[in-house]
Amino acid sequence: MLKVNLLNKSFRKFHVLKDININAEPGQIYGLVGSNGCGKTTLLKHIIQVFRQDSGEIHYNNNLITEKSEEIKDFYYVQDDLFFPQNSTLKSLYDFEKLLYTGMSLEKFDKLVKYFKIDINKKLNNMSKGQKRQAAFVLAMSANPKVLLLDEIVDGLDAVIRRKFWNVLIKEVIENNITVIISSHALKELDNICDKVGIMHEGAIIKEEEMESLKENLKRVQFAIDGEYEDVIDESYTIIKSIKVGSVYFVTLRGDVNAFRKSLENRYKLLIFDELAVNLEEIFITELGGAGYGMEELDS
Amino acid sequence: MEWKNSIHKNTGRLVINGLKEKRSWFLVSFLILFITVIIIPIITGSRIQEGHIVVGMVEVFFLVFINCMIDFSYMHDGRKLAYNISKPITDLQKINVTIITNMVFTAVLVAVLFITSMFIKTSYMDIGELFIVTVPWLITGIFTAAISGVLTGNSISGSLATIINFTLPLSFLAIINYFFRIVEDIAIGFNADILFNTFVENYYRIDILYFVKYVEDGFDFTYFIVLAAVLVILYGLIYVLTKRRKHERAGELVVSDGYKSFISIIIASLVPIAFSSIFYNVGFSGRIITFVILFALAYYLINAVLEKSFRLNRYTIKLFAGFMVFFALFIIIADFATNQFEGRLPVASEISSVYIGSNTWIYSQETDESEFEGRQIYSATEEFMKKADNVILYEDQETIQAIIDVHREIIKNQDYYYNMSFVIAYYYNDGEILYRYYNLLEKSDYDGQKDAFVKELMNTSDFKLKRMPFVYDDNYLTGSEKPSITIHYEGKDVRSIPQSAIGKFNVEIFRANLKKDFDKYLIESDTSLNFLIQSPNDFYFMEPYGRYKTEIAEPYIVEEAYYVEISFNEESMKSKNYFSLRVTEAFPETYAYIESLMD
Repeated sequence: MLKVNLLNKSFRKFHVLKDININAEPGQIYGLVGSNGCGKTTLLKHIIQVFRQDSGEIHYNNNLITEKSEEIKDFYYVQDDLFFPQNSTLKSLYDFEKLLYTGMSLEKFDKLVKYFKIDINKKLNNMSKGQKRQAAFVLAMSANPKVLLLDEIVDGLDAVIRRKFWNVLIKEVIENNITVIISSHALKELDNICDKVGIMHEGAIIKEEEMESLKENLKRVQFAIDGEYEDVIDESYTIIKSIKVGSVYFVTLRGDVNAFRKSLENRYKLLIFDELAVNLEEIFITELGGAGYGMEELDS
Repeated sequence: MEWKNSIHKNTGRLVINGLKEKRSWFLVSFLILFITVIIIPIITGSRIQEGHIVVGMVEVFFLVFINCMIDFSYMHDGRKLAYNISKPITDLQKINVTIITNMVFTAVLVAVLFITSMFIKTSYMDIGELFIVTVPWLITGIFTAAISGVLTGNSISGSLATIINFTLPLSFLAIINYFFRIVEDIAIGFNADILFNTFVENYYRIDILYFVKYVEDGFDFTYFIVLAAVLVILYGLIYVLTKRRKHERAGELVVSDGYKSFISIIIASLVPIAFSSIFYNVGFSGRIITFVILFALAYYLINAVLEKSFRLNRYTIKLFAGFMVFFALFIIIADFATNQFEGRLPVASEISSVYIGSNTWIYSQETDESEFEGRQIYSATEEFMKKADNVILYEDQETIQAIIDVHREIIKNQDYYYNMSFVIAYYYNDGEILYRYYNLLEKSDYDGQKDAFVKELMNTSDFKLKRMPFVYDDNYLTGSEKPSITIHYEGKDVRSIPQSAIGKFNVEIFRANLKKDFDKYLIESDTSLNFLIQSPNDFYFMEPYGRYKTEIAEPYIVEEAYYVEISFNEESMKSKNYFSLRVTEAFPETYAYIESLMD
């Protein structure tokens, strides 16, 4: 289990990571989502030990992670802004990384190269952004890491390649029980693959929960009533957001949906009432909205 | 355990991988060396000479420098850094691999150059000396590049920092020398050169640090000890600094705040020193004011560049204030510490010999067996001084006391007819040496007191014999062969010297006339101190001058003089085999004698 405990970091006077706590289980894909500049990449760089925290600890299987610890050798980080050494090809980079990663598998490398159709002798710096991401992903998977940190890995990829990515990743997680932390803004895609989500805002994790639990807690309903709807306070549920589109109201709430329905029925003549599926994007907007993010009105 | 962890288990293979990536650099380097060291000499028809090997070595330095900058640049870019550091290799292991790779690269280039040098015939220079100095420079240079890479967050600043760090011991030397100049200004009798020489020869062995000593004094096993010690220190710095490096600051000019402060103080100190040659005659207060102003300006600009802001932060201002306090304290403490020594005068009975003179470069030998060499007086022993042919050591107790009396007068005030400077060196019986250096300044109201003290000394036979043996030592010419004489005239008109005059020239009569002139001069001269401090060899080029000359030679419009050159057989006259005198009418007896030869 990868555990980040009360991690803090300041860049000069800016407190960029504030008491970060993360718990990612083996065989779990952990989605790290958050507002722009909230510190996702910085957090990943701390986990991989590129940056050193001011305070707090990172543990993997109850062992403290430092630059020198044995466990860190099973971590692999694919950064958002990819870098490849000058004149390197996927083949030369594989040979180089083989000297560093003990679990590097040529068989898996060959299989993935074939699957993604990458020219292993082409200079990486001459490849397109998408090809580079595929190459980086192939190397990462070939290293057989126990902890895989992916920063915006599908950014700039077409839908077909993205599907391929997820297929490989999910298969890897299932077969090898690895821990994946993936930072992305592609919330709709994360919605389908993440087991757990950590939502970051302004350097802090404002919510960390299993995806199922998140969706269970947050409900979204649409209804139409005879009359004008007004929020009321009720112990059984909490209204987070309500908007009206035409004559239909959309309400996001936490708590008992049936109690909310009864409350409506008691007050109004209920014409339509449907419970809608809640997606990660909705959860994200709701949580960040709760933190005051994106709530500004254009006019104001 | 920590040290064990600093070496990656695949270091060898990683180095080979790094060298493979340098294939193009190897090719380019070989090509450059091949063309400049071998092909060009062949094309120009000259054989390969030492100069070509030196050029080749300069090229090796350049190539290694560029390679180090490229290889350590991974610390200066967020992308490169994240890629490299995220791999299962620690920062230190990565640096070690880079250092070793560059060491191998350097070794190959040096080996190529060394093999090439074996095919040349050296004419004036031992080519091995070139390698003795430059090989440790290259190795320490690679380590310095690693340190600079860790300290900086930008490849250009990394390159500059490498040069600055490599020359840091020299920068310290320049700053220390400047501070000694301040002490010289504060303390009467203190000389920056003496302090500097003492410091450099006894405490701050820069010649050892840069391995120059092993060329000057010969190669021995301590060379390897020094090299190992320097590398251990540099590696220790790499180790400590790497552990403290804040990678998130990659991209900034300097990532270490401590280094930023340190370098801004060092460079800001060097700026006024660089300008000191322009402001050399500004005096003590002028020197301090220029230092403070130029330091402040340079400090501000350096920090503005480093911080990329014209507004200095509070810490930078505090550091400036701290340095100014240190500087003020240095002046106060230096003044206080030197005050007690300024008036120090020896007791004549404790002194074995004393030297007073303006000549500070002594050419002599330590023992009869050693070779003749030149040294600063501050590095010379009494024995060395005694064997010098251009130095008079006064050993007579009365003479020593007379010099102490003059010294006492000099301590009271430092005025004279004109500006002049000289050294007094007391050689104690117990081996201690006391040096004092004085700059006498021209003062119109100088009372002649110093010359009055010296005049008595000058008229003792001991002084005359030592100072002018050619004139006063009647046995001086014993055993000498007939000298070769040449005489030239300088004056209002052109006069050729008849051969008959040369034939009639008699050294003994010439000496007798000189003796008369000097007897008169030594009594009448009121610039005795000036005569005392001149090198005895200067006598052979000298004439009475100063106030004395003005008094007896006025009115003079165009000075007439005979140049008399006397060359003796070297064997019979030892080192003093050549004399050249400019005889003017200020030497009336001698002048008249030469005139008489023209008839």
